[in-house]
Amino acid sequence: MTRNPLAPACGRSLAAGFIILVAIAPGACVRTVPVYGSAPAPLVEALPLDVGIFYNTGFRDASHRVERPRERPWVVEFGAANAELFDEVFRNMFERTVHIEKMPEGGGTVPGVDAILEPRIEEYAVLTPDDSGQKYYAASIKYRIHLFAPDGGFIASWPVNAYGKSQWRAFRDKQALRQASLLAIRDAAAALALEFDDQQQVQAWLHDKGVLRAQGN
Amino acid sequence: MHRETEHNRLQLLGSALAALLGGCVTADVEQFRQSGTGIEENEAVVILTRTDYSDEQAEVGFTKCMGDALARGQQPLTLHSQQEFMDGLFPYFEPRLAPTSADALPELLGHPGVAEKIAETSVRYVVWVDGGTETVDQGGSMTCAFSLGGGGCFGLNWWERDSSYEASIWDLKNPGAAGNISADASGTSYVAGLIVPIPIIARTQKAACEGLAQQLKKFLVAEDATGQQRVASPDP
Repeated sequence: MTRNPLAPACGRSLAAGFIILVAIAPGACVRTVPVYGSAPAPLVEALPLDVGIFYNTGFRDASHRVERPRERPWVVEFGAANAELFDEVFRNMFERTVHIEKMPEGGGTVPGVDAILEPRIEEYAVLTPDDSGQKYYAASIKYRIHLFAPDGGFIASWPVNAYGKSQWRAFRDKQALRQASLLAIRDAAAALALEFDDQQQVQAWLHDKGVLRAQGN
Repeated sequence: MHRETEHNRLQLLGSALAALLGGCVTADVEQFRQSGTGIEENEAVVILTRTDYSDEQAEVGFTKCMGDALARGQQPLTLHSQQEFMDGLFPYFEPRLAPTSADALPELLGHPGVAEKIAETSVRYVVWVDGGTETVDQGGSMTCAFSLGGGGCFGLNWWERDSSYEASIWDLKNPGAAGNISADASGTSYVAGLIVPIPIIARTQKAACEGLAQQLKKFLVAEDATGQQRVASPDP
């Protein structure tokens, strides 16, 4: 009987490889949660303004990795939904909107607009049923909305803290996480639609432009 | 003929088993009326749940059960979908902006386009449902063992559940609160291990849903009913 001298070493390597694979597998198998959906047209009267909308890369491609001990991580991709829902709201908030590819620099100006709106994401957080002990997923997104003049000069900036909650159901974690994130974006869209001209700096700017919202809106 | 008899026997056996395996539930429904109601054929009802940060949200299954119960039986009501209603009136019924009291209705209806949109939906009553079902106590123990020769479970597990829900009814035609109805149901479920585990389930949520829906239907259809009504019924 002949014996392969390499066999023990090979067996050890295989065992080591298997252990490494088992150790890294939970981290490697990421669960992707693409968030998609649309926002209904808000029941608001459009302000007679032409507004440029600028979404930076961090906003358009926003995603967040949710990691919990002994669980495969989630990656929530919510950038596309952000842009889609905000677009629908902005379209109805202003008489005309136009997408701006980049912010004006070095004395440049964006022609044909009264102002430029730029929403930014500052923070995204998730609460899982394990975190809260409750049967729901919750997502919160902290936005900061910037309003600039066509030449990039500062007009206003204010935070929007949005929140969404979705009931947990067995084997439907992905759907619940997606729904909670979508509801958080929808919550932000609702805040934007109705609270835009509640901001003091915005009010002052609207006053200077001679723009007044209809009473009761 | 023989097949039909066998089918009837199976049905009877099924009903008997369901009756036997259904735990006892005590339901208590109370009503508080603030104004007269009534609903016409072309008017609809929408059931809404609150999803605020802090509030306990009624389960989707509960509101679906209520909707089904309201839409069937004698004098069925027309139900409007919650999602369509919220979308049509976006953003006024979103969690952060939804009115928390019926006193805010006149102001809400004063916003441009809101009253017109509500008229389009034909919704006359908004029913806000809050509450939930929770396990308040549990105990017992059961052991199961299996081998090649067979196996079985021995012991007894039990848990007590309490379903507590409240419906606040707002009238959009005569803007204001129409009243409140609350339903509480409690019952104890058992799983007895007698070789085979035998579950005896007390369906408290179903009892609360049906009690609340039945009373809500009476409340909306009846013109001048007043006062408080208490119902205690075993389930099923």
